Amino acid sequence: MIRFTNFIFRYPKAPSPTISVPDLVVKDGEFVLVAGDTGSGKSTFLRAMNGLVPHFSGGEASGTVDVFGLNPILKRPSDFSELIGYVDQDPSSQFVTDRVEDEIAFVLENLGYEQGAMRRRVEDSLDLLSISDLRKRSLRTLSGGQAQRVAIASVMAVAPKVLILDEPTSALDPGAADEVMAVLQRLVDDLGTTILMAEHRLERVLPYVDRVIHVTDRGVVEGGKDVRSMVVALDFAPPVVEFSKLYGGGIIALSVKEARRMVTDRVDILRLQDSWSNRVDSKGVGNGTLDEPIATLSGVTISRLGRRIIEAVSFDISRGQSVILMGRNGSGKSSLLRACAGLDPIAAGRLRICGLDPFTVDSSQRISTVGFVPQDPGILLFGESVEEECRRADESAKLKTGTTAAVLAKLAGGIPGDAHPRDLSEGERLLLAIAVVISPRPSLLLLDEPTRGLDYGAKSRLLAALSDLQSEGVAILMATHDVEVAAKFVDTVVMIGGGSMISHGPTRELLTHSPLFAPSMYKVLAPVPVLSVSEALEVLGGEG
Amino acid sequence: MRTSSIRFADTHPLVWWGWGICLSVDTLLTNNPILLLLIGVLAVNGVSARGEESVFCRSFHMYLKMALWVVLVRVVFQIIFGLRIPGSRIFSIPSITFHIFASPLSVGGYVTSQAIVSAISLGIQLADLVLIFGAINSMSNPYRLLRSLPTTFFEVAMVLTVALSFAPEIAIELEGVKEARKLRGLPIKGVRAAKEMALPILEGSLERSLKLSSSMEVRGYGVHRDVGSKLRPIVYIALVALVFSSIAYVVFPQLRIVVSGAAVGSLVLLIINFASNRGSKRRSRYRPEEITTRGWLALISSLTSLVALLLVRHLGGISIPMVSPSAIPIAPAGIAAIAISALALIVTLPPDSLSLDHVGSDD
Repeated sequence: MIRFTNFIFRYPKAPSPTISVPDLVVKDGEFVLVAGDTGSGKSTFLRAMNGLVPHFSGGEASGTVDVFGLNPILKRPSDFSELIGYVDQDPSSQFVTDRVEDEIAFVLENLGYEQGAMRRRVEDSLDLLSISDLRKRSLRTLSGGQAQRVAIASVMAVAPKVLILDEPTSALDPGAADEVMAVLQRLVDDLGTTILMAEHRLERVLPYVDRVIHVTDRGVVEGGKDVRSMVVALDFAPPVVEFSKLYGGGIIALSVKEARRMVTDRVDILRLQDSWSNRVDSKGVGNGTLDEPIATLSGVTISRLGRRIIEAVSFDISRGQSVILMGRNGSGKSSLLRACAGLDPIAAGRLRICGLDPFTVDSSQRISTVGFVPQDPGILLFGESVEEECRRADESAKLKTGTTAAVLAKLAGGIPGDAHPRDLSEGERLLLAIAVVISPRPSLLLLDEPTRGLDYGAKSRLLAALSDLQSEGVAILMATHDVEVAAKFVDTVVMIGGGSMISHGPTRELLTHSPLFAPSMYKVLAPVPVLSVSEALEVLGGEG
Repeated sequence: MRTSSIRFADTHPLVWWGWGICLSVDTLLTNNPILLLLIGVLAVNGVSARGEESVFCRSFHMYLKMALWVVLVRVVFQIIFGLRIPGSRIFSIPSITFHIFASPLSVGGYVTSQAIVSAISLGIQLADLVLIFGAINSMSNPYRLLRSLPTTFFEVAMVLTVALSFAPEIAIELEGVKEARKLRGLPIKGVRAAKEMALPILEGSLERSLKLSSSMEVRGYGVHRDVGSKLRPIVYIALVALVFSSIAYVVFPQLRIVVSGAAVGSLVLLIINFASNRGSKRRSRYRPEEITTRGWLALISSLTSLVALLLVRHLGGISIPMVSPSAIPIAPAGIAAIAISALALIVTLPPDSLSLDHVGSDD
């Protein structure tokens, strides 16, 4: 059992506590979701359980934490290694060794397990996470989902009572995320492991968890009663919950299954299909006429170290159009974006943006043609303050002073100019990076997994900012796993699998045809091809 | 249930360290550019023949670049600042003489082919050491070396390994920062750019190392830190003493007896500590690395090569005075002696073949 009593943690010189936990108990065998906005202190709370906070963070902790009779404020994190398994956000950054098997054995070696016992534990761990085929692999060659499972295996080797995960699925495609969630479910069911997990993509995890702990904006940790009553109180919610709030008449659905039952109890979904087709007929389909394409890819092939990563991909992007790249982890989406950004050459084919080859064009011309915001937007920021960042962007693009600052104000008002980019929230930092990239007015904006690690509020602010840009004529090419974002925002989808283009077409058609990437509202109302909550309500309203 | 201990069949990292150290000593024994070139070729060949598929191997090209720079810089320095070596003049550059504290210091002047040969030889000598170090890192991943060291050295080894693994990480980080600047249309050359790029790289590596250390701590690294802590300072002192006394042995020839005493003393301390830790179960090892017969053969061939070169040196011919390019002796005996260490590359197996066997035997 884990019990927090009057726990308060603050960083030195911070005016208010970073997190405070008045009273909280986590019982054995519970599967707990820790929810809250980005920067609210979810990670800090999780790290307080095995003493990483305050021992590795600095700062001051008061109150008591009781973790199976030990107090992490007084003990070292290593004293909890047999009790608590902790897996950080980015699994590859925490690998100590270089091979899967050795990584799993690391904790056993440290604790001095006997050879034979160690061998058994490593095998058990490999089996538990179904990764025994990866045992000899170099850790650097693993895909995102594999790396996440190896990271979990590497702490599960000592069979800890508690497993703590910080956003375990944020970097994963829907398939890999499901794998990880299934594994976690198995740990709870079969081994009675207590799991605490922070996650933004509630739609992925709500069906599995027993309880939601909420971290408020002011860092107060509140332990909820059960998932349903807690979810209602949250001001952010996944589509299924949002839908059931408006449609269910007081009943909250947590999973697609529940929501679907809610609908079938009242109406016949097959009849909705007709009303949907009538609706589409009256409104007309499509996005109007398309302009001359500003970006043309024909037969684009990319290879790295002699291996072909992208094979003959062809599509066009026109002014103001938004195209989303979808595909499993490691399918080559990022490589394609990098080539479009002019970072890597292409091995064969033709790639033109505004008639220019992005790889050979000189840098001042490139930034006014194509802008790229990589997965970690912070890497684009060098300055000591937001103001400096904007000034440098004006300078390098030879713009009038204040241009970037104006763009930023429009994208995200209220970011203090003297703040250090590192102190901004994840969402603000992303918008700053976009402002910096977009100020030279490129015709094409490339985004790699922009919604990774963003809460629902930040996501909708980002989408609003992007559709503003779109209406100004900026074309957007975005790689993402986030089907809900794709469903809300993008008009065209390009699916990539195994390096080649699987399909290319309107979002509605493609997403509703894919078992992996179907958005949850479609799953609720299938075969009616709705993508969003508002569409679903419209269809159901028209019926009822 | 299968609980047999499995052995790691790849070449033991210490074999490659032994090979590399023997080659380094070979390098220091000669200033014949032909022999030195041969050693450089051997080191590069080692990487291509027995390099592991790891980030350390991928960064070998950095060592190659550095080695070329070393030679180039050495030659340029010789031309501008070096002592004027008499011989056949090739060209001359304007000479300036400064008088600092009444002692004349001259820069520039005539350049002879002998001077160039000597500069190139010394340059290659240094470049060889760089290459050998790079090759060892590519052929034996530091992580594996760490696993194979006795418990006594574990902490020291861990510190060294983490420090060592920084070089490739920084190279990757630098690539990322350069790209980010390119994306923003900022320059990547120049003093201001270098200054601005240094900070994110430092920040990045600091963050990475903090993450790594917290991940190690969470998984019980150092949980037994209090056990045997009385002995630990002794280990550190002995190690430092060993390093300093080896340096002093070379630098102060008149103190050799005292210094060798100190070295032997610290060695004895280390061995006692090693022996006393042997039975303790503070840390165990999942897959102990063992030196295979092939590994021993490789070590023996490296040592043989070293001994042979010492003999050849004794007979003369590999340590040459400053000569013109045409007068460089071919030194066939020296070539033969160095070639013996190429055997190490032949008797060992490439790193992958055995681990593939292993995969097969698992099912």
